Amino acid sequence: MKSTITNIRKALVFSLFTLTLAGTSLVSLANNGNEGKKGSAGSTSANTADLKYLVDKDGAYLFNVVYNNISNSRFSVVILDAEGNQLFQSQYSDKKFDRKFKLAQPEEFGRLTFIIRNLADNTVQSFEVDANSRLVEDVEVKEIK
Amino acid sequence: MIVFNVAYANPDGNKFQVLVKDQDGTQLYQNIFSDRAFYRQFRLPRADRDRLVFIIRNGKDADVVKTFEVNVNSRVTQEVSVRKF
Repeated sequence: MKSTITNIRKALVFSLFTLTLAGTSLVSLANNGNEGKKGSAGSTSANTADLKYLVDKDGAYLFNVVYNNISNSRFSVVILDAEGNQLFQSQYSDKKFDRKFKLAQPEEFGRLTFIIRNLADNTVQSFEVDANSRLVEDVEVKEIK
Repeated sequence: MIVFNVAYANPDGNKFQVLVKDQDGTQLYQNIFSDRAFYRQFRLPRADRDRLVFIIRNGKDADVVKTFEVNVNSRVTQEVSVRKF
């Protein structure tokens, strides 16, 4: 029961950013290292997928999935949490797939798995995103005279 | 833990008292020594105390009082890695 509630909550947390909604500001965020942290894995060459994470100035995490679907095949995007629960699943056929997924509650973010499956040739490309939180304490001791 | 190194020159070897108090005057530590070249490390848990007072009292001279202000700034950092497999 608790697990079901957690799954529903996490699923609600995820919202798909369409290219239109993401707009120019997110594209500029992705291209400008000074405005936010970012990291990626994969390549942007043909037939390959790429995943980048971005942190906007409000601390929200955005995951940018790019898939060069040169054969125009149908493919699925699945997002799983650390326990393997499915947070998101959808199918597309965009030739140049480029969408952003937003994690609204970054404090709950531990591990995510993104799976892109080409339904024509059944090839799978997967990405694992890990987040580790650390508490940092700066202690300053000053003598009062 | 916050570590304070306390050194006190006591060439005559007389007894002296070391006291540690917090900002409310609550005594955190007290002991009597007679070391000629006193040197001890005091490890205090980092709590919400914002002031610590070290007092050395030998009963003859004026107390040696050292007051320290402690400020702690906490923040959470998150490291994210993306791996393709």
